[in-house]
Amino acid sequence: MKNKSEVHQGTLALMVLKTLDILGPQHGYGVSRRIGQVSGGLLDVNQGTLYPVLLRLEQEGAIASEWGVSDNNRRARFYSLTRVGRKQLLAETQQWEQTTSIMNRFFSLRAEDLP
Amino acid sequence: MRTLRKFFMRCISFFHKRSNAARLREELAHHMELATEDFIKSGLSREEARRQSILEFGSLESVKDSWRDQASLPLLENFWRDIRQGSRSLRLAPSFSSFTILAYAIGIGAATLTFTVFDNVLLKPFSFHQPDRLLTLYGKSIQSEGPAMLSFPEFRDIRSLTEIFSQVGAMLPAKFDTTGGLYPERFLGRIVTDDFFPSFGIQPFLGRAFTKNDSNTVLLSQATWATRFGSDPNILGSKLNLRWNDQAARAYTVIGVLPNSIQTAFPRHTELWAQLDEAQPDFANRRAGAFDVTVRLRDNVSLGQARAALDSLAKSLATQYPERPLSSILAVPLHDELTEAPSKLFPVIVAAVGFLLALACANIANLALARGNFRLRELKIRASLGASRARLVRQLLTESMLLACTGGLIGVTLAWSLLKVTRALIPDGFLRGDAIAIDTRVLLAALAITILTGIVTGLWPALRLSALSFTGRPRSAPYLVIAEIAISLVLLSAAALSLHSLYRVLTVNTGFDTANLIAMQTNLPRENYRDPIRRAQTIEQILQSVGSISGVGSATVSDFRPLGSTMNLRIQSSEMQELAVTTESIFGQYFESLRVPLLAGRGFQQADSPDSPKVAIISRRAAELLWPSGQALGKNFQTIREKPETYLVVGIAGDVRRAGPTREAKPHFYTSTNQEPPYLVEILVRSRPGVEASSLLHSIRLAAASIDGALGIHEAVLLDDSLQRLLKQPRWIAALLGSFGALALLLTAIGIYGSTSYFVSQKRYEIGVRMAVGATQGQIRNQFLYRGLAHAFLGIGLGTIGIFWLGHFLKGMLYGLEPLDPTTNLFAVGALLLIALAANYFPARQAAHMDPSSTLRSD
Repeated sequence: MKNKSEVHQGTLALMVLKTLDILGPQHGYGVSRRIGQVSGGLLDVNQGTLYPVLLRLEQEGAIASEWGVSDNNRRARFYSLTRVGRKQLLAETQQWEQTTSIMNRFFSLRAEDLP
Repeated sequence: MRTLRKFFMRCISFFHKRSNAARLREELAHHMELATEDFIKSGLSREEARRQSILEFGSLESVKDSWRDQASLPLLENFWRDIRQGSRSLRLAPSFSSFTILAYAIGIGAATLTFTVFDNVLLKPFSFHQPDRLLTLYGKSIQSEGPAMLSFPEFRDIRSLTEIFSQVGAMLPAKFDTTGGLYPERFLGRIVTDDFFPSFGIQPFLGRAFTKNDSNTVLLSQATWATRFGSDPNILGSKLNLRWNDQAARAYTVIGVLPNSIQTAFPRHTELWAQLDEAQPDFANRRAGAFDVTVRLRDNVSLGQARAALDSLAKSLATQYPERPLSSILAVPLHDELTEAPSKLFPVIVAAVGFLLALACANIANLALARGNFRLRELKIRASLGASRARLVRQLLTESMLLACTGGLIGVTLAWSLLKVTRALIPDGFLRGDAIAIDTRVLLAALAITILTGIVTGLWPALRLSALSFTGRPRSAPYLVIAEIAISLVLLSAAALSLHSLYRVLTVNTGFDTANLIAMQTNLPRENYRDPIRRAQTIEQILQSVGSISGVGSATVSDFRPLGSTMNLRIQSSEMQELAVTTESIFGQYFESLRVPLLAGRGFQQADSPDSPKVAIISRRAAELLWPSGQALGKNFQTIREKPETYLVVGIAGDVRRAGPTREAKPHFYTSTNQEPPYLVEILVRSRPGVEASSLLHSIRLAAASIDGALGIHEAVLLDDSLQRLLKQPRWIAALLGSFGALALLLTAIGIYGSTSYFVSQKRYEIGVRMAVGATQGQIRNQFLYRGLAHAFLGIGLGTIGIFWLGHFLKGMLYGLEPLDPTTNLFAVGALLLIALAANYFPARQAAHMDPSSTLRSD
């Protein structure tokens, strides 16, 4: 139970970092909307779970946050990627790609390919 | 690095909890607002948009929870919250809390007090230098069963094993009498070799220790220095005129004062230490075993190696000196030797206190379950609001730890307040028993016990209840009550047995009367009293002049006082019956004076002189054993020793428990001092009613000195005091096990009452239905009463197994009583049944008096 949510949180964190990397500073709702859009509703995530992830990333120093003004002229907390975060994103993207390519190779494997 | 940073951030935000919470609130509100607006834009009504955004967001509470867990130090934070919440909910259930705290206090208090005693007297190392390397050596003779003392030549042989032992010290008990005063006074002393104090690593705190070249020097004990010399700082160098063992008096120089710590090594009070003169001819006798030998193992030598070396030494000595039948030399770690008495009692007391603790734990878990079932509603609400199971377990555990700590604190305070009583009750053989104290070791142990019991008693109910909070309906668990009853029976049986045994010891007929009886010793110096006629005359003179002192009711003489040491030997009857007996030589109105009945025949007479045939009076038991067929009077028996002596039985006296009420009377025979006058004379004086026996001591001293200035009066002891000292151990055991039993009964009563009350409240709907269809109050009451009794019988059945098990431990501790004594154990069973009945009766009656209409409506 615990392991599954942790993996999930890790993936979510990577999505958050990538979103902030592309869009620049965003408030929590913006990030969650973006993730929802990209996944095309395939990801069954409660939006609420985002906030603890944001906090964790901030504590780890991957993102920073400050008060700003949103489109509807309301005070909102804006999150942005830090240098640490950018490095982390790069490293984790590579790792992710490596994992997926390995997994792909496994999935495309057929019996006759084996020596 | 990242983890460190995270922790640091968390620490910071721990102190900014309020502003953090505000930030989250604001962010979430903002999120909701934007989400709602987006839904409105997509064409939903405001209300529907709001509903959708909440759905999309998920459980707000669980987000807040996990955000909070993430934000600061959740463990610490939750801990505080749990404590606050716990103490609030415990305050709301005062009777549950106080019973639980009481149970914890009883269990932890008893365990702490017991640990205090045994840690101080048994477990703690002695304050010598490297105490675990010290051994005590004994000889083992082919002839006798018990250990034999070693002789001085044997000590020398052991000392030559230099590759095994780094130090070898020998010690000989010795009595020193002063000369030159108004009358002689006695110092109870020890004569030791040079190596003796160095082997313990003990240094005098005043002056110096013995050196090789010393002669006629003595060390004083700190207590003697204080009581006899008023702690005189100028004591060093002063001379004492002392006479030891019939040697001519010599002037000894005081060279130092030893600290009290040396006393812990030697149970018997030692007032003065003198140096052993190795050249003294007395010590050359290989057969004169009289020495306590203490050795220090070399660092790289094991106990096994030392034992092997001693074995081969003993073997070579046995072939070399066939006249000294030494079969082996035993080595016992000094710690074991000095803690022999408490280590015998240790297992049974620890078992008992373990049972009590287990009982307290079962009781607490039982109460927690019963209460938990009541608050299941609260727990279910918390669970449905999103509290995880771990969270509920944590909260319940915090509550039980809170109770455990409070109980533990009270328990330790209780133990502390009972220290003084405990010190006074501790038996004589428990060295260091007068110094027991609650120190850091004890506090740490108490803390460990508290935490352990808190977890043990909290975890199971917490797991069970938290599981029930998610699923299922509560069921009652009678196993705990049954276990409680079983444990309680074992403790009650031990308590009943020890109390019954104490009662037997206190009421047993010792065969003589100690009231107002004082015993004292005088020594007829060998050089002046070689003539037996002179000795007999002097003894008679002493008796006459002591008897004429006003206040003296009666006076008599023996060579071995009752409740003191004994003279053991073997005798053979005219019918060749062999028997191990004790003996003493008496004079004057011995039987009248000690109030020992003379059952048949006659007492000793003036006509029984050194020249007439030897006569003896034997105890009833000796008569029965020697002549089982009957008539003993007029028969002869012979002593089995180098120079056998034949005696004619002229009288039979009542049996006397000479070793105290806890020991059976051994077969015994009396001879007449007139025929065999001793050098060592015990004077037994009974004062007149209303006269303090010890007040006569001064007059008796003067009377003895007026006969011969060399006659001192020593070691005066009220026999009542000696008797009380012997009773200390059975008293202590009974006090300990008796109070454990009483506490067990109390805990069990609480446990049964609590669980039956809970069961009744659980069944109130059913009771209502049964009453509505016509069940009488009596039927309802009996339903619960029978259930309670069934549990009691089950518990008693299980407990009986425990009684058999504990009986094995108790065997050596009971006097005139078997551990499976049916009457005593049935008494314990009866008491337990009675308590079970009472503790079930009240909740059962409550059930019978329920109002059916209200109980049916309540659920």
